[in-house]
Amino acid sequence: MALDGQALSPKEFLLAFKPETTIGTINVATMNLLNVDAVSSPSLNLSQVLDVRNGVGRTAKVADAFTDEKGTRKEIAFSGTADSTTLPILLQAVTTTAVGSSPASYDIAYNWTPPEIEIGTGSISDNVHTFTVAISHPEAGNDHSMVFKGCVLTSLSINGSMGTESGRIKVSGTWATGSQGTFGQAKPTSTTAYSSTNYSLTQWTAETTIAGIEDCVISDFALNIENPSEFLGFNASGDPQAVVRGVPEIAVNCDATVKADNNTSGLHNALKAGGTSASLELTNHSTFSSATGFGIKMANGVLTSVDFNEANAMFYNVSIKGLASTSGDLIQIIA
Amino acid sequence: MALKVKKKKDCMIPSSDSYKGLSYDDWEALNDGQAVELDEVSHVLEPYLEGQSDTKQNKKGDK
Repeated sequence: MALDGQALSPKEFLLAFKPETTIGTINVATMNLLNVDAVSSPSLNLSQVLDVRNGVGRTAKVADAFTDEKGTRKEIAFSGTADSTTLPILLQAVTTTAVGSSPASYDIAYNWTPPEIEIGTGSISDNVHTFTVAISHPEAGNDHSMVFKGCVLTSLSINGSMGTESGRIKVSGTWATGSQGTFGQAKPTSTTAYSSTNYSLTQWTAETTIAGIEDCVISDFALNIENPSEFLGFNASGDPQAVVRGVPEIAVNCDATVKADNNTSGLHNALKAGGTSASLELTNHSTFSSATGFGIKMANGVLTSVDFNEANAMFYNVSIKGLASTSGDLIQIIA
Repeated sequence: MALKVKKKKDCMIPSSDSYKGLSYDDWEALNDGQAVELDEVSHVLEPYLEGQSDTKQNKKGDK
């Protein structure tokens, strides 16, 4: 093989995803590109056994090397900028819930349970089951892209800081699959570009309620949704037969940094009291159902930590775990 | 307008998809064979109900 003078830019590698129409079957048609900061290598977690076996000499032997990917959990982590094309799909993927109405929000119902996900089920036309995720390789031979089928979004973080990109909302998450990846694929074509319309903390012009305290002065905010998922069984191809989601729970946690003032200075006392009214309401309208653009409402929560943050003024770092009541939603997100 | 619905006889309504958009009490009552009045019927619930042509599409409860 002769030396190849070609060099590739890290920015030529792309990350794309697409809902599958048959669960566990690759779908690379018109994939959605993610606006990522960088494409990181997937975690393949291969089964690899290289232990020395009984034999002549004290060396590991060629014949004993074992590597397999069946039944292993592959994870593709990403971080980037949230946009109005991909964030709504990501929210549906992690909440396994279609968009609601009045307002058009992505909700987790108080009695949330996931959809049944059985590999091979067809006629799927939503964003709440499985996805194909592709890492597009720019090499000229066009046969080095990686495609992972049967992926589910197991975590999604939406965060922003007034000290970083003027409060522009960033997003990070992790796709996971128990199916076998395909390597050496052609690049996905006819991809759908991410939108140039982004979200910002500064869109919260009407309501800035953190931990049940109205009119907080916010410097940083992060909302983390965890939807743990496991891949069960194996079929004739060595892929799983089913995916179980939300075991033991779909969890919503929030971290925020708010200015210490008369409004917020009872936070330590509230932490000690353990009340469950540490709510969030972050919107551009005083009535949530009329809010637009980017908003979050969580009616119930409990403070899990309160710390001082010595910045240009004293701030509090607060962490809140979302709780469901006996009706309504655990959380609603407008995006 | 509330709609009175009843489960088909030959099936049970699974709890997946957030109890098909039902409250827990309504979900239990339907699986017990009782008729229940609902304001909205989610499309994931429709296959389990009698008289599908009478049901209306729900958007908010689409979960």
